[in-house]
Amino acid sequence: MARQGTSKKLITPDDEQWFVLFLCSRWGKYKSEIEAMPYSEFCQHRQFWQHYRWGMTDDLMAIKVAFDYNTASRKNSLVPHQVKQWAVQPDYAFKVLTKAIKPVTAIRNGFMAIVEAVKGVMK
Amino acid sequence: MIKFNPLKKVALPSNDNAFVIEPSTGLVTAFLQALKDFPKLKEDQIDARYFTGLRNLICLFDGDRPFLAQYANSLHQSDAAVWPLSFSETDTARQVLEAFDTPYLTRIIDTFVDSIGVTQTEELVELIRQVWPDREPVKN
Repeated sequence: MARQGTSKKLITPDDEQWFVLFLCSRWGKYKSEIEAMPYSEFCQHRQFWQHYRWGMTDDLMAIKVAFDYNTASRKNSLVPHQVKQWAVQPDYAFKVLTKAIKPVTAIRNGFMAIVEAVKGVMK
Repeated sequence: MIKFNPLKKVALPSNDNAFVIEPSTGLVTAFLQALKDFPKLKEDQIDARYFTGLRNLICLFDGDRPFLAQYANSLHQSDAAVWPLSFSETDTARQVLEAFDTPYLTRIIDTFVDSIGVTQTEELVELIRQVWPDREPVKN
């Protein structure tokens, strides 16, 4: 039996035609309407769902939040599927409260932190 | 209410009325379907000449009219026996693309690629990159 959990990948939109139908059902639009969509936008949504793990489930909002977050500062870099929690600030700009990272990255970051700490002690 | 952005459009420096226009999702779906039927180099690889050639053809527009239709029509006018297909001005790039079978499309791409120079091809590829970027590596 397959394991269930928060890390389960919900969908695998690898096939273009399948993903067109997925967006039709998701947004209640006709196939012709989705097919008229610019391909770059289509790719943004497809990429979101291809890499979705445990972030927010609203791809439209995640794309908007990530765009605002990245344009607010050149140093910022966030892809939509990393947006987990967000809030609206008094100036109506989005603030990302929690950024989803893969456990592997978290473990690697933790490991590198330990290595750096050990290096500091060895000096 | 979901609204989509307009298709990205870049003018060709060499021609005021020629544009490279971002393809719609439907056009890319038809493009990928057409490529599936091309002879494979190995497993799922096709000759880059056909990928780039067809991508250039479907992204090029003369004003708002697809260049692919105009190119097919000009070939038809040059020799109707060799190039039997012709299209109306209202046909979309997708309709034109879906009207070709693979051998016909292969011949069109070969003729197109052979007729333009390396510099023009590079110019086109660079412009198309602005409206149809290569897939970016995914962060994290």
